[in-house]
Amino acid sequence: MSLKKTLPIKHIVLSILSSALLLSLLGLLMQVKTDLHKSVGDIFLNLNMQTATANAVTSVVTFFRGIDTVGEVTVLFLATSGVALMLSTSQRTYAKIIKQDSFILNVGSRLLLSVIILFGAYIIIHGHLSPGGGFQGGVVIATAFLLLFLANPNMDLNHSILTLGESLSGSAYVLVAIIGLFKVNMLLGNFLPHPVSEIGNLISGGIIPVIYVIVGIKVGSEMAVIVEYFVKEEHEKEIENA
Amino acid sequence: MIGLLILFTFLSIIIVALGAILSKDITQSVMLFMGVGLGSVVLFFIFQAPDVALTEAVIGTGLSTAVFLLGIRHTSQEEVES
Amino acid sequence: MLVFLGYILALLGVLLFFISGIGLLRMPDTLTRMQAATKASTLGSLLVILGIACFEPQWSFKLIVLAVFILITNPISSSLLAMTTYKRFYKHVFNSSGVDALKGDEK
Repeated sequence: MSLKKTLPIKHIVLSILSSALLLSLLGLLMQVKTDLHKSVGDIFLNLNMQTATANAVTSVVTFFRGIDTVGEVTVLFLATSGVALMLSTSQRTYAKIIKQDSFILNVGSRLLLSVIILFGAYIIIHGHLSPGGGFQGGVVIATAFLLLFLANPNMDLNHSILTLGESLSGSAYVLVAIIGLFKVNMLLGNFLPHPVSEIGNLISGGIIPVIYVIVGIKVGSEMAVIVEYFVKEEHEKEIENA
Repeated sequence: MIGLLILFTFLSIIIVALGAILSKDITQSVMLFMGVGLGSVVLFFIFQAPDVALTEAVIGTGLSTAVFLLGIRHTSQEEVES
Repeated sequence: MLVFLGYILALLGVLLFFISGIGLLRMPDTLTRMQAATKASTLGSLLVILGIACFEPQWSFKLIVLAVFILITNPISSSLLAMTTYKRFYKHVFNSSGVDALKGDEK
């Protein structure tokens, strides 16, 4: 009896609401007039000569939408804090795992670490010339640490260096933004010389490579901490079960 | 020719995503989800967004798969061998 | 001349990839299939990289890094896969040579 009374009402209300949502979305879509000659991408491409970076996406991310990037970095920092709060509730020291993984994996991961970190640093430094940048390169470096942790479970990360790098890069980002405010009267303004004739060189684009290096250090250290918490927590569980 | 490649990539992404949904084994489903990420990397690259393609390749294929696998091993009890 | 050499090398590499794909489909069990998937594709990708280096000599440093990456990762992953397969499925198979090199590693 109750099924007949309750279920159809829910369904009817849900269908009415969803159809209203769909209709309003369609109405919004019908109102949009796309002018192909004046799209946002073209405007940014025209403005790109101001910043003199070969990669137009980088100039949008770090210069025209620089405040958004600050917000993204803040979101990442909050996510790292949340993971650390959730996964590091137990403060006991991790017991050393007796099981040693294979020799081949142990040596090979150490060999690979340098190659992966080199690749990540290349992506970070060439962020204003080729696709990539601070976020991608930072995650690549974190992947190198993930490989190291998976291969050697007894590995310990030096937390003080990571925390130092993360906080120093965060303060440096704010410092660069404030220096721009004082020198060019604009937050995150491009206060270093950035002549258009230098476009395509490694040292070009003013503060944009500086910002990407800062973002790369910050993202890399935060992601390394997240990865370490995930792997270490699992090992603790294995010890408890054994 | 490039349209054919785009069509083929779309079809393979849809097939792999269906496999990831319908698969019974959760590890297999994570691996198929990695295949969805790989297909979207190819699509982003064809549509001239190499920045997004690089991000998807690093995060969607590398790090998120690792985090999913670690989470599966972390939550499932029966896989622990004595 | 160099471009011609590059074409030949890249074609050889692609041919090896093709052979490895056929082997992956036709081989009967895990260990033999893995042999087809790893050895042939390692050599194939190295040959393709060498061919690209013949096309564009200024990319050679990046290509060397790529080749080092492939040369380290592919054998390590294949050896780990083989070890895991042996430990899980082949432990009790009769071994005619009487030598078991992985016996001490078991935990």
